[in-house]
Amino acid sequence: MSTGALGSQVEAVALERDGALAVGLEQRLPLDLSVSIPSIERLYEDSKADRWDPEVDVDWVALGAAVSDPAVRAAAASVWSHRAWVEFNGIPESEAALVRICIERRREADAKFFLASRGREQALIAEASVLAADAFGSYQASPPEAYLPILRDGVARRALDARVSIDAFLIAHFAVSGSIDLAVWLAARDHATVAAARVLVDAIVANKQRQVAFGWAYASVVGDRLDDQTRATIDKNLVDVVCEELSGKRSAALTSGDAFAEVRAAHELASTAGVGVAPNREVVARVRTALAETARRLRRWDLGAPLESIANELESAG
Amino acid sequence: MTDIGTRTFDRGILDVAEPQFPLELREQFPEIRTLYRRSKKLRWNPSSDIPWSEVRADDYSPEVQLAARQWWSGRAWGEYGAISESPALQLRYQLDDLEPDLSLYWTIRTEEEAKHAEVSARFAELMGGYLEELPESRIVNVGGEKVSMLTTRARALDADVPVEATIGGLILVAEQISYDVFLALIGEIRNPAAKQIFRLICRDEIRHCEFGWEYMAKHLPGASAATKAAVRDVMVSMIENVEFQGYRVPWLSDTPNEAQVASERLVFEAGLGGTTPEFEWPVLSQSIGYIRDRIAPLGIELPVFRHSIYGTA
Repeated sequence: MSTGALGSQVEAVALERDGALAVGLEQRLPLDLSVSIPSIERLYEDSKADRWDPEVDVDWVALGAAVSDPAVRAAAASVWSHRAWVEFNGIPESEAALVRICIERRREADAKFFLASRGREQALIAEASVLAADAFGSYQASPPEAYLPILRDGVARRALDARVSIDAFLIAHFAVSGSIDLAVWLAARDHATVAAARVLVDAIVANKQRQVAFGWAYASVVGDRLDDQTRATIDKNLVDVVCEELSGKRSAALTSGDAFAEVRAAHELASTAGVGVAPNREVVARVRTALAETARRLRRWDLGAPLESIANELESAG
Repeated sequence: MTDIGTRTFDRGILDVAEPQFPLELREQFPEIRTLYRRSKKLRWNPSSDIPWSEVRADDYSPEVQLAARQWWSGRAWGEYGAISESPALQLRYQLDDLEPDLSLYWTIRTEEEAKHAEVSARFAELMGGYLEELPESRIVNVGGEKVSMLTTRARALDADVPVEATIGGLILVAEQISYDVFLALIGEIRNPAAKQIFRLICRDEIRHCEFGWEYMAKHLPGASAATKAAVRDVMVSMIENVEFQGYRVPWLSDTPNEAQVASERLVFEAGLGGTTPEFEWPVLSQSIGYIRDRIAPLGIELPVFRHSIYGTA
């Protein structure tokens, strides 16, 4: 058995058995820890100062008591369970991105520090989502079978693949995918009329706004120095993550087809309770707007042309 | 296909569909969930919880200021390793299908380590300037190669290395020793800002250590002989090839850099941190004895270690 004989090549092997993926090698020193992106440094400061603890800061009994209809409770539990799966997967997304950016030579310390806090934010949101599902009856540990391919997004693999620019990963996942994520949560906030749900969703939105702001702040720094190859990679990644989002990764409201009719119906039913779930049509509209806005922001760096086509298609499809 | 303890793999760390279902996110490992809860409650903020105005670099001679800059910068590099390397363990928790409580806790642990790096760099900055590297960078001899890191990431990313071995080396040895030394050091530090930094770091580190011991207490008894052997090998290597080679403190090296040793003594005598052999060797040897005694009931027999200069531990 290997005990990790720690030669300089070890980090390049064993990531997958066919050996096709390499994570690169770190050169630790010189180590620049100074502030180089003040906007991200401020987000890191905000994140550290945010002492939200879902277990003690949300009135879970009141939340659960706000819905009495068994069918609506089951629907709400289903929506919040789905959120728990996705948000928990945000932990390896953060940590893999952190590992990768630390392996890159002389990358901005602010981004590393923020990513170190982002994992904790994701843990809290995942924890909160489980508690919400339990408040409505029971957290569900498994999605419907049809949902499995949508939820398994291979995000750690993408982050650690040294052949793909870390800039491409961060812009696609943290700016673009994050913007769609935020749009879904903002829609949810508009339908958190129950006081306990409002407290819960407000706290989650505050975390999500920081995360999206990080993505765009990072894009602002690297956007002007992208070469054509990286730009092409980013556009390809953007299409991939947006297609995943539109397939319903984060919200059943975005699914289409008969296979997902039941989860879509459950999402719609849950939206009637004021517990942080928006009607399906409203989620779709918010995402469409977010996509168009994202495409507009990316144009500054000659990025995101494929997103404009997708946004236009969505628009014409109504 | 590789047999790892009671589990069998025919894949590398990224050959796993993620996330894996069923995904039971409710409490599975109460001891670790308790650490997670405690960490949430005890979160602190470097900007507001350290009396930075009391660093007062001008109270110290230029020689001490330079030595303190070097020592605190070195601390930042060391703490940075936990940002750069140990997050890779999150991927192992998924691959090994371990309790999600581990992942939740580990996120806060990563943030805590970031804060430890941040405060160390900031202290160095206030002493006259954080240094990106020393002329004689710290090196450690591991596996025949000179590297300046603990190589936790390499172990974590290698699916053939049991996660128990990585935790054994990183937490049960490296972090336990650091905690024991830091706890003793608090009594020697006179600078109020530095003292508060070490109090807060120790408050985090005790949970980091307990995470490792709790993990081992649950998972090691049922582990295979091969896994236990791997744990033992990594723990022994961490003491002999990392600690005793001067990764953390220069005087432990077989061939110590005398200028660096003298510099750390200056920092220690000024009450700013630092270390000396006469202060730290008794703490270190006691810490190693504690590790040996605590791991023995879990089926890992560690030897008595012999340092070429300071004797047995």
